[in-house]
Amino acid sequence: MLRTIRFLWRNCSPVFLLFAGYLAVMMVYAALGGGTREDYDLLWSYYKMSPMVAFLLFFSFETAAGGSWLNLALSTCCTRRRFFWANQLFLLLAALVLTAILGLCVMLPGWMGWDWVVPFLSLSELPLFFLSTAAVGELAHLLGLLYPHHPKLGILCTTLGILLWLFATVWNALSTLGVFASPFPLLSVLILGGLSLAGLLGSARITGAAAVR
Amino acid sequence: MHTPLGEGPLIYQQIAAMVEHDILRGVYQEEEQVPSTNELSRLYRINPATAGKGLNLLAAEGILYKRRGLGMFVAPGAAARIREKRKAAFWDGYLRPMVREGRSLGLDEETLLAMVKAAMEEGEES
Amino acid sequence: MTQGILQADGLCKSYGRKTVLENLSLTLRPGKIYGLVGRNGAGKTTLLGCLSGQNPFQKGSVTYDGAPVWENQDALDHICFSRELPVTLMGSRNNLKMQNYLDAAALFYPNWDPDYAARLLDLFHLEKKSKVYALSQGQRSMVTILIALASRAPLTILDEPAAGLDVVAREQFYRLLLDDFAQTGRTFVISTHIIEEAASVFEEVLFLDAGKIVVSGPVDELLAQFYAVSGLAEEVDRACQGVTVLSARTIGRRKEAVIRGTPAPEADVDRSPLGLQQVFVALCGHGAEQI
Repeated sequence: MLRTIRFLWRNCSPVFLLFAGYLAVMMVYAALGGGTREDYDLLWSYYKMSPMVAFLLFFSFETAAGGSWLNLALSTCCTRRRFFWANQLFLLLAALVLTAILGLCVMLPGWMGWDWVVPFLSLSELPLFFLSTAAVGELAHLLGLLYPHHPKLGILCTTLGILLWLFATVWNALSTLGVFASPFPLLSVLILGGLSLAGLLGSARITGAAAVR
Repeated sequence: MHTPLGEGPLIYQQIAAMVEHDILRGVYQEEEQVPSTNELSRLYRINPATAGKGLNLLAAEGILYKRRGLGMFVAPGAAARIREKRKAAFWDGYLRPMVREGRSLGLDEETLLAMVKAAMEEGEES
Repeated sequence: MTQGILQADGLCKSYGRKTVLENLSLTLRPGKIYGLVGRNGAGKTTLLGCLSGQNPFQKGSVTYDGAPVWENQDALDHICFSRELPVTLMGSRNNLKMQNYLDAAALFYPNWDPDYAARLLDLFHLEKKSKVYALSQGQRSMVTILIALASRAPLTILDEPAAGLDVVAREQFYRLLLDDFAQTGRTFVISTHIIEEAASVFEEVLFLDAGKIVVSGPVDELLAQFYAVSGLAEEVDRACQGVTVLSARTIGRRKEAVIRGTPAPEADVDRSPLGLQQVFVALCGHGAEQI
């Protein structure tokens, strides 16, 4: 199991490091006076978009995990069960870590006394962010698994994934207006939870019968 | 030993024949070790089991014997035994085909025997 | 105590309506080099995929030391099936580096030998950082050979390792294989359609034809059963009394035949043994149109 997780990490670590670099740049930007509500300079939209970038990262590596890394692992005589559960665990951990990192970035301006900075996410939204990331990951993995065999279904999943992304963007916009007071708005949780579960079950089914190409 | 199998007997028989030939020529003396199956495998690019089968064939005929943990060695009297074996095969392997070929060429008994005699004399001169 | 016997029984595999493997059974005993010979499209890759738990099948069973291979990590830890690297991945070119495949192999094969791998990389003049799509077919073959050899798996399967290599590289491969086998005595299964030059490397051979194993056993025992006889047509017919004639050709008064069995000794015919390739063509070359 550990070997499989190492395998997954090795394959997606460049993307994670890229994201870490991105966040570092954003924090420097904030320190230098950026991130205020009135800012419309070049980097402001990138700053605001930080959580969305996390989604994109997740989307790209989970698609790859389903589409090519599963195949690579299976071709080296790894079992489907091991890969599936390792991926699920990895997905969970990555979502938690990302949520934690973003949480830290949200709190950093407060600790450093940069009171001009408007956080790109509010702390109460972190649980929802975690769920969204998980849902994006599960659907992306399913998409990666489907694409080689059923491009049409794969496109459907891509659309769903993009819709989710849009939903998240819209939600994010709404949240800055204070629409979501509680950390677990019921509808969102149900939808995101349902999507995650659907992704997970679909992935389990397809992985269980996967043939090496 | 890259002769395609179609031109000769099976590989393990070729190995056995080759080792026999070398024993007759004195390449391997009595009580000397013959190449191991791994060495033969490497030399001729064949499976070690095939090489082993060839050596075992000779061991079964008493031409080689096995020393546990060391390998195959030339048995005492091996050269003589090989010559005996070849004499017995001379009839089927050389004489009969020669007579058959001579017959198919239309040579009569006298002519054939004269040719054999001439060949033997030639052999003595050289 | 593992013995390392791989057993397939009643294996059936079809893709949709097309049956590839039909009620196939075989036994692979440890410590031998097996050749799996078959025509293009006979299903060699499919069979090997099923034997190594990489491809599912509809009916039958594949066991390693009595335990099923499918989804069984303990059994799979003893097996390596090295396939050709794909040139395209998910619809576009394979952007993965050779390094990715080597790292995956190093992670997942419990007996992976990194020094051996490094030596082979050197020997084959391969660059770890090269992208797979940029490799020539020969280089891709060399990577699969590298992974198979360095895996040091007790049962190592190679799918057409010689296909992309030129003759010099092929000779190099056969020698590497024999050296490794001489050192480790592990079980190898090599599938190929380049038969004659590989024949001397195999201890046992399996012919795959029409979804079944039609021949399996030691190479020399197989070859000892076949003869090519030629001569006057009547003599050839006399020689063929009571044996299976696999093919015959008549040109004027001359007849040539390939038979399975010993030709009658009194018949005045030229008789010669066949090579493995000729035996394969005689047994499995049916349906080939004479141009």
